[in-house]
Amino acid sequence: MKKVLSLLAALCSMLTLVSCSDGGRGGKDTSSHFVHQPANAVYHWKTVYNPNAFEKEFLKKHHIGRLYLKFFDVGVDNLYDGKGEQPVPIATTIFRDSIKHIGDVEVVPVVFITVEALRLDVPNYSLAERIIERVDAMCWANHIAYREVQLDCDWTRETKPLFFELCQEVRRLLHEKQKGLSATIRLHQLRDTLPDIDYGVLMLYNTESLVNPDVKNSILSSNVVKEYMRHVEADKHLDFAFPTYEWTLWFKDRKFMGILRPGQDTNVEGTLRHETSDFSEIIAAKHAIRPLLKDIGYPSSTIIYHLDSANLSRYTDHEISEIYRP
Amino acid sequence: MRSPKFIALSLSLLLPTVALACGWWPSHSGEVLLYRIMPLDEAEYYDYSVLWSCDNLIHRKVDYKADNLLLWQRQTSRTIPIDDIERIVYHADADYLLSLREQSKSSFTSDNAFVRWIFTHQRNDILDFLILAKQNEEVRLSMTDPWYYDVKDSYHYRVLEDVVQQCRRYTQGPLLGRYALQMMRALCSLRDYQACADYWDGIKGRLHDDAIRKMAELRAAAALCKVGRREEAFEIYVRYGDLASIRAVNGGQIDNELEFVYDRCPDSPYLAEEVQKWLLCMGDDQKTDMLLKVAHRAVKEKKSHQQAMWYYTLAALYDMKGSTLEARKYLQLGQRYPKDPYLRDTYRVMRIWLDAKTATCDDAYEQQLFADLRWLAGKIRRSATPEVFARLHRYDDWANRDDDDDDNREVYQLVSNTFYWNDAMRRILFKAVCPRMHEARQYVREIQLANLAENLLVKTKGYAGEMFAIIDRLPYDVTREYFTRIYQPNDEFDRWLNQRGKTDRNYWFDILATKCLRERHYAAATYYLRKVPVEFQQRLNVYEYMRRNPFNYDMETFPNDRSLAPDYKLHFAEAMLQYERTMKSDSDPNKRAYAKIQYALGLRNSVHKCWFLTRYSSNLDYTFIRDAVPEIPYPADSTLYRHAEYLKLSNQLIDEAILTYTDRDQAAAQLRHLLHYRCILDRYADTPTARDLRARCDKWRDYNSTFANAKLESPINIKHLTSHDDETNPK
Repeated sequence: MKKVLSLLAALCSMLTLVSCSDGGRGGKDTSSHFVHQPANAVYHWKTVYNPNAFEKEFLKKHHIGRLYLKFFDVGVDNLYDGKGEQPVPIATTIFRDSIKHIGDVEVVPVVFITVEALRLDVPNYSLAERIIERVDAMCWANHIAYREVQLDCDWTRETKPLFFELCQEVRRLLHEKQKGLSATIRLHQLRDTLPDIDYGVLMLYNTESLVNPDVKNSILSSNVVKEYMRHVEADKHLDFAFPTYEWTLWFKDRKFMGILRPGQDTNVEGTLRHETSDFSEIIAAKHAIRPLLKDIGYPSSTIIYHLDSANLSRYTDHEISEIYRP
Repeated sequence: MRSPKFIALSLSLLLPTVALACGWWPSHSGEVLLYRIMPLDEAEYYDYSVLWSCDNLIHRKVDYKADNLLLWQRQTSRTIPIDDIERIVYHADADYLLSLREQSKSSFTSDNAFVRWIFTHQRNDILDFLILAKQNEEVRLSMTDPWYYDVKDSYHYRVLEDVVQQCRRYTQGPLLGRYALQMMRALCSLRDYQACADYWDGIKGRLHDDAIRKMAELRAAAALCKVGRREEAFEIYVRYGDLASIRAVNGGQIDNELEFVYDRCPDSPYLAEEVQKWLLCMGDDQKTDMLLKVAHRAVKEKKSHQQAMWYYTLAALYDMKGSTLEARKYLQLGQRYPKDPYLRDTYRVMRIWLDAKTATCDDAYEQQLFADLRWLAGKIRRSATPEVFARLHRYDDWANRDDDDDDNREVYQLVSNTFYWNDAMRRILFKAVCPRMHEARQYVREIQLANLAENLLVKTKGYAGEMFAIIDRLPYDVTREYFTRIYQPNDEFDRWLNQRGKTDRNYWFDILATKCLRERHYAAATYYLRKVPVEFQQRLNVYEYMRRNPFNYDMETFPNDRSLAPDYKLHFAEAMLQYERTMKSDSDPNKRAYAKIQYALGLRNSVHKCWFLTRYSSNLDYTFIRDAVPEIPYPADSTLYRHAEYLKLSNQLIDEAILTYTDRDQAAAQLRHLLHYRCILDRYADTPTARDLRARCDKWRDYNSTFANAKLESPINIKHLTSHDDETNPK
């Protein structure tokens, strides 16, 4: 009997993994062989890809299986070609080092979509096709064999239909290529239905407004995460992204003036607020989300934001392992 | 109330001025760029973001297109119309040419003479070349798409490499130069600059001196630059007078690039572009002087064939500097040189402008102005495309979309510099002719011309903008005279202007009536207002305010009464007229006093909370449009600001009225309406009103002087009515 139960459990687990490719409500039934596998992951959010020794070692030491690499942003520009404003790729990442040098780490191209680009209503223009064609070209040029694309967008209730439509189209195109689509999900977006994606990545950072002078730590507050958790009900698989960065915010007369780089915080008139991604807060936030959102359909993964030696070096190996611990 | 959108756009329009000290932008949003030697791409100007890059305004680019078409004609047949060649060489795509290639095998005939010639003479080599050139062009164009990501071995690279191979195979024949150009273009797109430079070195001796060689040589210069042969590239650019490339190669180390090019290539086709750019550059004295120096040399030395352009430039520069007579002199000298149709027209515009600034406003000038305006109006009518109207309407809608936007004066400012001929007419009339007419006390003509400038192209709403600013500041009698001339024109010029201005009777009746109310001509106001139908009143931007009782005692708080709106102004004028008569001639002093108080209240309210009786906008600040309308000390300017004057008069009338009453209780009752409790208790203590007040007023502070005065902000001078101040002061 035990054997039968084990077999059934294994079968259920396999079915779950396969079926996650179309777990969305209302999404078109676009069959795909895309399977999202659990893995330790990290974001690369710089405009130049050139990881240093520490960063490469980080990938190895912590068994990073997936690198979410921002390829480009989609902004808006007027090219003076008589077509007016149109969506254009900006801040394209320059590859100074070869992806080959990080071994078997899977690279997930990430495209950040500005809401201005979403709002543009350009006739006879498929933004989805443009994005996929450019991702293809970038992957081809840089020898990246990608399995999925991730879209990042700060959509709100107003722009939600536009983003959802884009996701639906991108996902359809990707499924035709046996690839998948994921999207970043901000905490406030969790209150809504989620777009037509294969899975989401819940961004557990920037939990509060950084321009608010009364906020203690805008990067991550487990209490704020708990508050959000009271109102959520996700029906799609989610992985979780935790911050490891820090910054100094400058306020003058309670007005936000800017983010200061290290070394810039001397001789500044006003108040400075140094914010860090505190390890205990990260763990507390993990525990806050666990009861409601973890392992929907199949095991959730953890992603660290982001691959930067200056920030990552502030954590011990043990702490990083704890963050990644399932 | 100006809309936030408008403020945002205005700020964005002004921003470049701040950001670019030598910016290609007029000193304010409403100013028209008058000096033109070549058409600007006005559709681009309309998109304000283009201001960050003035290069996009220049319509004409040096592309050797005309020379290339002529060369094709020479290489085929002089009987082929240039348009037919252009349709195939410049407008057909590769797919169409491939289909022609297929059809050439059958007995296909074309309505295009160039294609027919190719078929008849079995010159498929031309078609093959054009297909290759188009494929090359299309791929190169797609590589400039911002979405393009450069990938070696991609489709783009394969096509370009194929183009290179095909070009290499063409080693001799009539199309050698053309193949050479295509090859160099493909090599540069493949970023194989060394191969391009090497190829140029080998082929340049075999190319004819024609447009193709010019294009190839300029392409070679770009490649030479990339491979480090910058001096050779510089030498080529100098020979062609390509200013932008000279600047790029030289790193901006030449003080006066314009002079540098003029010295070496006085007929450079690039010079006109550059001069136009400099003429757009307002307020940069150093640049003005540099251009002045080159222009003076050009007209003196006569090395350039573009003499008309250089004379125009001198006229523009002297006008910019305020030396109108010098400007006239150079414009006149330039008249005799050949010029293209565009420059011929801008010469005339400049002459009209300079005339307006210098001529004496006499009959001779009027006749000249009439002829000029007839020409300019015709030019505007002929040149106004549907896009021009669409633009105006779009901004008109946009500017008036907000409910709180009580005027549309911004519309023309937002579209300034988007349709030159109309913009130029507006600048000439508002900036030069109207002020001259004003100085000459020809106020009617001033209004007529302002009306033409505002309404020739589209009929504006008419309660804002420059014309309205002018008529709003002129007194009633002048406006009435203008109105009379609409129906009884003095001359042909009157008739012509009337036909093109806004002469809607209701519009003018309402304006005349409003001016009468402002100047207290209530009988005349009644006369006009009886002619203004309610449907017209309902379309007025101020109609929605007409819910306040104009005889309200309270100065600030007015109950909303929608029923007051129809014929609001008329009812007010009739009531004021009646009160005026009563207060002057009734035998009963109490009736006279009451009428006087009502008259005073109406007068006060008509310039205060019921301002829409005497104006069309709560905002009387015309400084925003004075950028376009010159500052003129309008004699009746003060009529706009009668607030203080009428408030003072109103207080005075109320004081007089109270003293006129013989019925003390009626006087007390009026004082009670006006909230002067203290005065009632001090001076009319024996009246029923005072008794009632005492009975109801259970708090001392209600008639405490300090409190009462502070709270009520009494407009009445009750000091002389009150004799015992100290008694009511709290201790």
